[in-house]
Amino acid sequence: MIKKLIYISFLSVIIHLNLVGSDLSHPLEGVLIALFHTPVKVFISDGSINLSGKGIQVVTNCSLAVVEVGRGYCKRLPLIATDYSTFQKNPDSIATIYMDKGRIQLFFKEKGIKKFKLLLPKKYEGLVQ
Amino acid sequence: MRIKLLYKFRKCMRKLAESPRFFIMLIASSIFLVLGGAISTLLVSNNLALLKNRVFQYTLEQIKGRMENLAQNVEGEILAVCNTSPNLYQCALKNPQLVLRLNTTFNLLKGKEVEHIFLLHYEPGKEFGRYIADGDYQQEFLLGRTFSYSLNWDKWMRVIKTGIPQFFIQKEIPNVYSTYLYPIKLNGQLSGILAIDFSLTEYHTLKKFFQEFSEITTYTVNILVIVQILIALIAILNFWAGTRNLAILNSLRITNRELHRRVAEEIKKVEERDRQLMVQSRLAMMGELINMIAHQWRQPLNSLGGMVTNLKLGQALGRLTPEKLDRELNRMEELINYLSSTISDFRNFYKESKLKEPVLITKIVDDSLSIALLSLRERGIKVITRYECKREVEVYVNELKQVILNILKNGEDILITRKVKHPFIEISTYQKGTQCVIEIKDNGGGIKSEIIDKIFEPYFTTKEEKNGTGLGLYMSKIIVERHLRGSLTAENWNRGAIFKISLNLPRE
Repeated sequence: MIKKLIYISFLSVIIHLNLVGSDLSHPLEGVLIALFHTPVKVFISDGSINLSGKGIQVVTNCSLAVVEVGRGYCKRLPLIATDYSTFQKNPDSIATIYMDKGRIQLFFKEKGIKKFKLLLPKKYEGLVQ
Repeated sequence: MRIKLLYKFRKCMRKLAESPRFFIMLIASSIFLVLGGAISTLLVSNNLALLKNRVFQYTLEQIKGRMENLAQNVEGEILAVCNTSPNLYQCALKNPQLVLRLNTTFNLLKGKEVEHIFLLHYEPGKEFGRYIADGDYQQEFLLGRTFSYSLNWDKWMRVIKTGIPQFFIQKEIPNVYSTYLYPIKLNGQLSGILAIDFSLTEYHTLKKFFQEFSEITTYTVNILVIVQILIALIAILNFWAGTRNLAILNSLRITNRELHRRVAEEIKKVEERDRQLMVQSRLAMMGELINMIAHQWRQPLNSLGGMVTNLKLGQALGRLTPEKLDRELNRMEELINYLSSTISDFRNFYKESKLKEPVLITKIVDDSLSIALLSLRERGIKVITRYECKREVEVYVNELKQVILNILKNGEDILITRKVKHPFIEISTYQKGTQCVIEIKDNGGGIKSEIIDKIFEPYFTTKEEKNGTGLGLYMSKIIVERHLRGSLTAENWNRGAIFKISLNLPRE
């Protein structure tokens, strides 16, 4: 019994640590699912990003992906930048998500949204630059 | 006055200590003290916890106050530059020096207490603001970069809508305890929001400090209370033991007094017994003396009788000349004087000496011998005298004579009883250290070793058939040791016994 309790405690700690490590994953998945049809095929070009949610399919080739998450590795593919600078500079960027001052920052670029003919849900309208 | 009060108090306490109620009272007071101590510890701990929380809250308020001051200063600086600008962002674009100053200030402020400090331009209708300054280094800072209000949305909105500063606890931002949001207004319109994140590290440090403070204080108070209880208990026990001891001491005093009284009574009885024994001993000695006097008188009386017969015969025959009568009368007078002197000796012997007087040892020995000498000679006992100590000693003369006579008489008896050939008694005096010793030695065969330790005991005698009382040597020892502060011992030599009377010589 005690062994089981210790095991459960240990497991819950591991799960908690994983969740903490992927703070951006949850809102990012929400954005991806809201903007693209599921299953969303995603190419990740930022090693710190880890996506594993339902409706998300991580691909290893830009040509197979419908969206890139990261630093703008793919050409002519909608980009959700993981830093503000890439978001500003890359013409394919449609949104950015990153941590700033311990807070999740999520913004959308009107030009990018229009360029890739995406439909932005109303709840994100206040975050459009 | 104080002594009287103290005495009354002690008396009262003594009575208390003797009563069984006192013990119950002691137990009750101990329980009361322990309970009181426990309750007071609890109260003190609670109060300390309250105090700790209050001090902690006060410290947080102080920090909040400092943040307010800081925010007001920033606002003042902005207003000084941007009072004519339409909004904060425009003003910042026009005044890079202001941005630099604010950034530098914020950078300096970041550290122990402040985790983040940043100033945002407020854009109406947007869910984000734009950075005016954030305390980052110049190359990392980007003026106008957006910042989302999504986290703590309601707090940001409250500041935006009411224009009232907000202070709230953060739970989702790492290393941040609380956030202070301060609205910056330009021309009466909300133009910016200053955000300050208070460091969780500092909060933890403060919390830890207060926790430790509280623990140490509680610990110290607990120890103090325990020590106080212990001291009080020890004091009560000590007091109780003291009062108990006092009672015991008192009973001991009473017992001691009773013992003193009994000892005094017993001493008195012993003294009385000794006095009676002394009388008995003297009476016994009187018999011996009468015998000795009888010996001394027999010969002079015979001589006197002979002289009277001679005188009568001379007168009857007509041969009594006046010269012869005168000569005979003179001789008779001498004899009568001798008889008179023996009577005086006898009478003096029975006079009780009241005071010690300095007398030559040799004189006492000679006086004693003069009483016993004739009897000894008649029995064929040779008397040898050897005087080396010719000094005076302070003694009760007659008592010492009684001792010497008693020893001489015992010697005489043993010599006669054992029919010793060539019997003798040797009396010598000599000095040994600070003492003068009178040694009486005989050749009567000595004292048997099994009785030598008992001869000075009362009623111990070897002369039952001769009506010995067993008091002579006992009284002699009492006289020498108690009255004359000397010592009387008996030992054997190869032919007889030696009695030694040692007397202290007066200091020169």
